[in-house]
Amino acid sequence: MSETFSILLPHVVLALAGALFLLAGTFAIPRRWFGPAALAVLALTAVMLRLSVSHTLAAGIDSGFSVRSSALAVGFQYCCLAVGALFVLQSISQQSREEGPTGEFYGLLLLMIDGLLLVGVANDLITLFLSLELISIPTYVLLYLGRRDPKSQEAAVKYFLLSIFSAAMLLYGMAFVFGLTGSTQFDSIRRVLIETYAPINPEAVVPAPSALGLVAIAFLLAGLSFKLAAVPFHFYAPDVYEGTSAFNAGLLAVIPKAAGLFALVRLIGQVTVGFEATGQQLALILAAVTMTGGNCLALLQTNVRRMLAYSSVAHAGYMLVGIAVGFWEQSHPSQGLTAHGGLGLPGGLQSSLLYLLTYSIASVGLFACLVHLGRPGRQVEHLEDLTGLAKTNPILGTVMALFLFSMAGIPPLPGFWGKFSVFAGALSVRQLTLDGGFQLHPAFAILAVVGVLNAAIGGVYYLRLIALMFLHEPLGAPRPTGGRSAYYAALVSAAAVVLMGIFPGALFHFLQNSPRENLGLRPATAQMTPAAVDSAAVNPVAVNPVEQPAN
Amino acid sequence: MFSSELLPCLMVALPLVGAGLVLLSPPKSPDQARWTALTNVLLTFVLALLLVARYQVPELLPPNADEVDRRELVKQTLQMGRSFPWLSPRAASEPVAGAQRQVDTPVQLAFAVDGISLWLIVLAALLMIPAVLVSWNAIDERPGRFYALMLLLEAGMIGVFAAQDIILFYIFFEFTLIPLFFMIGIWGGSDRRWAARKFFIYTLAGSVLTFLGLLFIVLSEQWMSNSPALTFSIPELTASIQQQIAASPQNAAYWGRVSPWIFAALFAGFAIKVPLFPFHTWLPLAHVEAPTAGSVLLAGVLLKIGSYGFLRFALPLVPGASVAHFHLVAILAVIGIIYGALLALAQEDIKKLVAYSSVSHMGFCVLGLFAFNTVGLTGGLLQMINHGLSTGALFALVGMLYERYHTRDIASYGGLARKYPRMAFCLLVVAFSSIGLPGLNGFTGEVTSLMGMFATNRLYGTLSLAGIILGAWYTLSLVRRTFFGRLREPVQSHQHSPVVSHHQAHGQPAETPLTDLNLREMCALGVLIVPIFWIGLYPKFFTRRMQPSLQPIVAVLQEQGAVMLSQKNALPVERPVQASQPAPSPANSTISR
Repeated sequence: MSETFSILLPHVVLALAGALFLLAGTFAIPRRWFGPAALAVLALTAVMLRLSVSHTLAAGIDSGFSVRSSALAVGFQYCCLAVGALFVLQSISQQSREEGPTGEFYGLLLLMIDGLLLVGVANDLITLFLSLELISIPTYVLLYLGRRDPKSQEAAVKYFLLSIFSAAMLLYGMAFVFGLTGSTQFDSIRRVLIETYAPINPEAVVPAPSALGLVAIAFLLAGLSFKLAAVPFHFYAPDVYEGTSAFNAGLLAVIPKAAGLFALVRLIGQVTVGFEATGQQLALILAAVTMTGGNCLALLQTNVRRMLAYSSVAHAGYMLVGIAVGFWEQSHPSQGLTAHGGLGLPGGLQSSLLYLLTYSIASVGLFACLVHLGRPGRQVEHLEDLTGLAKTNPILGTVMALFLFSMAGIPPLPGFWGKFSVFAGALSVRQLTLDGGFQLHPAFAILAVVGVLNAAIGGVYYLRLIALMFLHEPLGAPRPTGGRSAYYAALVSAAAVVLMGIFPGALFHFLQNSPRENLGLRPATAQMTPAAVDSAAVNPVAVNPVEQPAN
Repeated sequence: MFSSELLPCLMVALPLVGAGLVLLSPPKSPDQARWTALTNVLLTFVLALLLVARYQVPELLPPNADEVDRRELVKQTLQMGRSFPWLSPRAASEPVAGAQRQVDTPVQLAFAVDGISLWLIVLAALLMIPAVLVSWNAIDERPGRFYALMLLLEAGMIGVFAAQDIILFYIFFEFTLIPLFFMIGIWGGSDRRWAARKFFIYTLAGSVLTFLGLLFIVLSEQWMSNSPALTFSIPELTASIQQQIAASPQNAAYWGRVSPWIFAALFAGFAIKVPLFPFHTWLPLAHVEAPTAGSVLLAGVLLKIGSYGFLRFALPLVPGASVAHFHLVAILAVIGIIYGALLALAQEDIKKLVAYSSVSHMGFCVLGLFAFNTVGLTGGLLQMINHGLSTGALFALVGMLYERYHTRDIASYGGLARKYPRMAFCLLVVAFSSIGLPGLNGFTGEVTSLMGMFATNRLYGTLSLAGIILGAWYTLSLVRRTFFGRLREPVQSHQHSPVVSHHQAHGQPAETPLTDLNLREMCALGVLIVPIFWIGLYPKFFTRRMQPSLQPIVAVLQEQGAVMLSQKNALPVERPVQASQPAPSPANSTISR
């Protein structure tokens, strides 16, 4: 069994199962069978993944393939399967009661999850693009499925057009990368870029970054920012979330964001060598604007899903802080948190992944609560609909408060750990001063301050919702009509949130020990500027001499 | 018996277990919840007494002590420490590049006590007893949840003071907001929702900046020491940073550059928590709207987290910036003292009066701490305890009065001493303690912190004396107007009371018979009045345990504060040789400005 096939085996299983579900939808099979079957498929995929991991990681995959597995990718895939299972779980009750194509619904859901898994292992621009499309195309259909009112039609069309547009931008950026390096395969691209922009030989002349590459970085970031719903590519989010069902909104809040962020993390490791400075600046600005824009606009909302849409925009901003730090760590391999094999905290890219995970779990849970509280046609719309929820439904109220506090970053919930590692990354960025010392990078310092102030702004609207649920008497008690399965999904997520909050050790350990090569970080060859050499002589802090040519 | 190392951890864990037990108790029998909570609180207090009993007082430093002695002393004062790995499931160390180093992140569940945190932990455990007792009948709506939240709050409060890890400290610091938010928001007065949210957001906005400051301290320590792993341990950070500053002029210059920023970040969170003058606007609202137990704990313990933060982080870690911002902080404290007292004087609502008096009294704490000498620091720390006791007792008394008449309007009371002699006695003791009558605790705290301030700066010391006079004025006039003169009781009909009771809002009027204090209430006040006399008559028992922990901080302030200031002013970076000079005797060492 070849390694490539072994990596792809879980994906093949999932894709085949998805196709089978689509086919089965045309037969007269009881609706209530589909949900559990989809769960079983996900479990099977997890088993296959486990088997393929023991095969591939032991064999030690070399470069040259269009898919490539690593410890980090496998960890990502397990998390995606878990999140996917939570989505399947929360839809079971509604799908088994409602009219509409159930087989197609689960088939498309499985295909989406498959696309998400594929993002984890994609090692080629084409594979990456295809896996992102494997997420987008089922999303278009899911947004249309069974919804006839004009608002959801509008939402679907809006998402469709803007998504196509962003895909085009992404593809355009990829074309530039191909034009620059003559390859679509990550390892080849990386090799070419390192030979040009970060030669091992310190005497080699390093050219100025090519304009092609700068355009490529800008377009890649723009294309993926749409998936992340980062300002100014966020315009679809509030309208689409508001127009569609709570379930679809939850899907949109988590899956494209996870795909976009992981793709970004992968791309930074592979195709941005030599262009980190530009990427860093773009990510810095995107992060600051996204956090502030998302949070400030969320303050003004009265619709639950609209508010959560803006809050998901804001969370993309925090993730982009980690991305900006990641760019810096790329260009300064011997400094920062990832230097010398790690100082004890995950670096920028890993911290943004940690943030993604904490955000995803809380989001899935929160939207599961909304799914449980409403059914299509009679959903929770206004914030006031949740008034007094803690009195009428104490457990659900507590669980929702847990998710909201986690999103607000109140310790010891996982959201706090996400913010902790992201901001630790931002504050670890330093630059040399004229007198040979070093200082905190001012741009990142400002970013960190903007970030924490945003956390406080975020606290305002999360707390407003919590106050509505806990401190007010119920007006018209929101009756849970969405079925039990969503309730169970919310409980499972709540358990995960509590566990991750109290025992974050395993996560931190995993992320911080996932070796640099998993992320394709630039090898720690000391690509020192003259200033760095000088300061290394004066002050051994700046560059650790042990860390000289590693490879 | 168990090892005393586990005591601080147990004191955090016990209330958490208690909270779980209270929640599990059946909602139909509120008495079970009450007794469970009370047992738990008493047990925790017994542990706190054990903590005091087992705390060994180290010898004070000789006058010519050097840095090594100081570090040794710090090590001695930190007792009963225990830490568990948290962010590192496998605390593995592997040899890398020939050097042994920890590969895992060192955020730990580290608890210990020293002379600073010892009394604050005891205070928190002590104040929980009256807090539980005064809520006995006052909280008749879902008491189980109320007590569970209160016990969570206790775990948070003890955790804040016992935490020896910078992130752990912050976690408890923020965590205390959640239970108090619900306590105020659900069981508070008429404007409770807004009060709860304002309190939460205000504190959160400041503390997120503090969080950045704390993180930056950790990262900067690594930059200066070039160690292969970050350390989050507070004593390690303090020692290492002081060592690094002394070791190289480059590091000293760097620390001098970043200190003001770190100080600003710490100031943002702690000044709001104390609260210092322009940031105090959340306090009256939160105190007035909170249920009695909430006010007792908020004023008694939670405000101290702010001044504790200054003492634990700002003074020892950024001594230069603390000294440089002396005037700013001292002026804000003096304004707080006088302005708070004037506002208290103008209040017609008893609870508001006590709330504003807190602003005034906390000013003395900060003034004592920013005197930068042993006397001042001791006074500031002692004043924290005293304020906790006397204001806690005052809020408890106000709560008892409110339970009987459902109004807090001063004008509607008069001559109550005749009807409630026991309550009058307690109020007199507490009031005298609050205004600093010699022989009671308030006197020792205020006098020592003012003595410290006089040694540093006469002007601020003199100005704050006005606060003492005003304090006596508003406190005594409160006592006179309510408890002496012609007997006047508020009309019982609720419609006439200017402050709408929350019982009314919930439609559950709880009637308390109009009799003098019962046994439960006397116990609640008794546990506070005993230490009021104890500290007043024999403060040495308390200060003796504080001073060994304060002395190293003062030494650092005197040396490095001055070093960094001189570096800031004179540019050619030359570290003056000061470490070998004998440390100036604490009381009369002034900051030459």
